[in-house]
Amino acid sequence: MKSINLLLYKKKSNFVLLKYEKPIFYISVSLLSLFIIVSVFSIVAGIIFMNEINIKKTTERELRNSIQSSHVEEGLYLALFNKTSEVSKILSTNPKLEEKLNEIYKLTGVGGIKVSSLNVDRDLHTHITMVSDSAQSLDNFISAFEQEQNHLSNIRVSGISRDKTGLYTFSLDFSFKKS
Amino acid sequence: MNTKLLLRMIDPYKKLIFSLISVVVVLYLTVNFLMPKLNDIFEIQKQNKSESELVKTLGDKLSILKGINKEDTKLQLEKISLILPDEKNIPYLFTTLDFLAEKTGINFESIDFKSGSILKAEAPISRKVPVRGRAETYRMIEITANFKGTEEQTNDFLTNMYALKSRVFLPKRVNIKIKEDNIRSVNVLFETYYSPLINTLGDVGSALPKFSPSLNNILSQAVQEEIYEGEQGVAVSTAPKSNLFTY
Repeated sequence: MKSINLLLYKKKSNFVLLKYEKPIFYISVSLLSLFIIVSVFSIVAGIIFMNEINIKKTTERELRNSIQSSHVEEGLYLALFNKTSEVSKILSTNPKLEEKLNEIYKLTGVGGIKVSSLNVDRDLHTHITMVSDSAQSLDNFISAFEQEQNHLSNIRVSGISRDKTGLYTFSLDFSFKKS
Repeated sequence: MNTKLLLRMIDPYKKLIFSLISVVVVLYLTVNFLMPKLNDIFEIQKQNKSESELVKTLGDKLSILKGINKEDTKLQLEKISLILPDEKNIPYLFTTLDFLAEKTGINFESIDFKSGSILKAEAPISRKVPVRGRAETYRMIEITANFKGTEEQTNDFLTNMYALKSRVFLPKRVNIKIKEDNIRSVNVLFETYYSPLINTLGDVGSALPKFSPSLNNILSQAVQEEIYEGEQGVAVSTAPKSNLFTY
């Protein structure tokens, strides 16, 4: 018996994990404590959250009932909102052609030149036909028009002709730069 | 004897064995019970959060609905429906253009509507493709008109078309011929719009859209303006008659 004890004692002293017996014990106790704390916390948190959800569900049901009883107001509100936002969308696509026409009148309102027709579209492409009885007036007009490059684009003379009475007809295409 | 011996053999290791067993048990319980429970709690927390958001949305919605004055909203809707009617309303189109002509002094020579289908709420052209990145829901009717007037009158007419004082019209193309006596002969292609009312309210839990400042501006302008309402048509008898070529 004594020999067995001695043997065990000897083995105990040699067993490598025994060197870390204390740290292993502390770790296990810590893990156990942590496990208990987390378990308790999760149970408490679960109960609290479930209670909160139940309260909110009750509130939600009450709110839904109240909203359902206000369906006339909701319909009116939505109809008003849709109509107004559609009017807003429509107006936002407005190219304000009358403003561009005023600009064209200012640009072409020079002596010796008479506008006979003009065409403006939604993309602000413009075609103007003008008449003049002097080539010099046309030349002066073109020189003046060249100064407008900063707010006009694609300025192009699409035709100049002269009839037997000596009247010049002059066509101009350009686009307004979108601001 | 064997048990006693075994216990005596274990005795020096009991602390170590207890520690190792408790680590194994804790790990086992953590993986098999605690982790799934924690996942459940996270799910419940997520559900709680979404429930809070839903309650807030519903609360906001209800407070908006409670703040609505039915009579005022009806009046606003009636006003805005004069600018953007629910149907094509061709007679109202004619009377509105006549109203604008009278107001600005122009003289119509011809008006041509592309009204399409006979259905009052059906448009020939429905702009379903997104314009400038936004999907349009309104429908439109194209109108070509020829009229005469001075420079001031024609410009007034074009400005009044979308001044929110009548049904809204937008010019698409303007062609002006200037006559000898400074009278302008104008050919204008323009659009007018209509939008059927919504049929369904959608989900009770859905949030209500909020009026932006620009929408509020349009609405307050529409309410303040005296919008042209169009003349009420006189009911015409549709009783059968023997001669088709008389009224």
